[in-house]
Amino acid sequence: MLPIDRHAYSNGLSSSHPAEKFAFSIITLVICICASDLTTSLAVILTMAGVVVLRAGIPLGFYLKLMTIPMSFLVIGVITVAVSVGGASANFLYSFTVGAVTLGVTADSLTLAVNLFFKSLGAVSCLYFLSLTTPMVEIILVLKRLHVPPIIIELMRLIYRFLFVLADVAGQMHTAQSSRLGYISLKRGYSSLGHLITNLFVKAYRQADNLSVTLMSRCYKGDLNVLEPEYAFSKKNIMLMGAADTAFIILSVLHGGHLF
Amino acid sequence: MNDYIIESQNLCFRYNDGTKALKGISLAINKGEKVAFLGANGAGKSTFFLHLNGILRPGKGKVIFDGEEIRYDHRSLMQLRRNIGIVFQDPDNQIFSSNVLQEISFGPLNLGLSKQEVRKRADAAMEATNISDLINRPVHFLSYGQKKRVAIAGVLAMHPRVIILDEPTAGLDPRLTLQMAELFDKINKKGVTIIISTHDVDLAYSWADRVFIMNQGRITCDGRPEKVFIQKNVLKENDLTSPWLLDVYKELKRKGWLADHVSPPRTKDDLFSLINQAGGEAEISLMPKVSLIK
Repeated sequence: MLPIDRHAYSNGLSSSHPAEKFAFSIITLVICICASDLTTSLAVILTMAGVVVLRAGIPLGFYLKLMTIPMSFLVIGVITVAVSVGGASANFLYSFTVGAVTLGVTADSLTLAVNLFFKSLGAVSCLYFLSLTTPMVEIILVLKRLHVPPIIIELMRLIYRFLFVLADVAGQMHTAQSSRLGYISLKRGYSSLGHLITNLFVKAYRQADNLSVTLMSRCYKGDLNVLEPEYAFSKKNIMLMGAADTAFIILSVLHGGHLF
Repeated sequence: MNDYIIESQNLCFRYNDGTKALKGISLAINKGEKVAFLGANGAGKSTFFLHLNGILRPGKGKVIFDGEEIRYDHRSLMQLRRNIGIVFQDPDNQIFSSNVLQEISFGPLNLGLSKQEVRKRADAAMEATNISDLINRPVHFLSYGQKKRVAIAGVLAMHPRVIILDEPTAGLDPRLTLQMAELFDKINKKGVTIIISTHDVDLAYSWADRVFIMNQGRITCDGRPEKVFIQKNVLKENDLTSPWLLDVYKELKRKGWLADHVSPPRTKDDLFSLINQAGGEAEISLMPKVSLIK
């Protein structure tokens, strides 16, 4: 989580308007999901990778590593789509029979699986684009402009801030436990982890108490109002993004013949 | 009419678990004063501070701000808290936003100021605390000392008349501690009353106009630092140590190298000029010996 966060704050696109990046990511995501052909998915994957690596300057190795994270879920998910259960049908490209049931792969199911695989990867790369180029604080800002209810905005803000505090504390506790051989065996490890989690809860609870005192001391009235930084829209960015998304739509219509 | 900004009269407080945290605190702090509270952990310093801005309500006794007893309705509390700012010990308890500008703007926005005014105040507060270059840095990448300064800026931007800092130098290295003291002086010069709690006797001795010593919920001693810290029994009863400047002063006096009328030096520079004078008068080669003292 931390390296993604670090890149989000310092990348080639960090000064661009967060709404531009947000819109590009979400619109492309929707196009990618709606279009059901391989070419569009591949185009989205390549475009996003290109923008992230070439424009935002995220190291290629790091990006490829990120792309492997969803791979295990994807492969398992896709296998269940590819393999279908049926009687002794002639359509199977490859099949085997277990008892009365025949399991196999048909041409259709294989195409569907491959399409689904790349479509998911395309969707993931859209979200990676957003999270690698836009800090959480700015995503929250866009959501606020989109009139997401304040309670959700404030929760997001607090959760994001205190995730790091909690992770710090957990790290310190783990070091302290390890220094006293708390994880010497599996059994001791489980026991230590239990204590760590319990303490973390107590600590989080206290932290919440303390936070409310410190907020009240600064005239907290129930709203976490803060000043938002100003960003400038860039015509060039908007035009490029618009052109890319239009191209994706045209591509999907040409190849799939339909959008859905 | 007196010139007290804060008064407390026979303040008593007891926590829900029965701990008597404050047992009759009576004191008065002058406008524009630099005050340090000393005392062991659990002596009641933080509890007392939380009474000054109305977070805690006294069981007995009262708090008076600027000549008026504080009231606990919403409006009065808001008025009180815009005038008395507290900077808490752990900045991670205070900083709720991951963005420095957002964090600092929170207090002033609550005062109902315009966005331009808030931005102006935030910029000035960042300038004063020397964190202007951190404006776009996320809080979780800041060091402890930087977070501490963000927390101070967040209170400073509300333009309070009193700033209370709970152990502002705890966990800071010596250089940052000195910078903190300079920052407090800078704020104080603008007429802001500054109250700190600290375990650092040397800092309290050199920096404060007045010190209060707390012990088990009571004020056991108060006065000018050179009057308080010179009393051996006071230091002993309250588990405090003597500031090194006073130790050197006493030793010089014991040896007869300082005249009886010479008052204790408040800073290292004061001490050095005393030594230079004494050395000149008595023609004793004092400097080589003194240079061992650091």
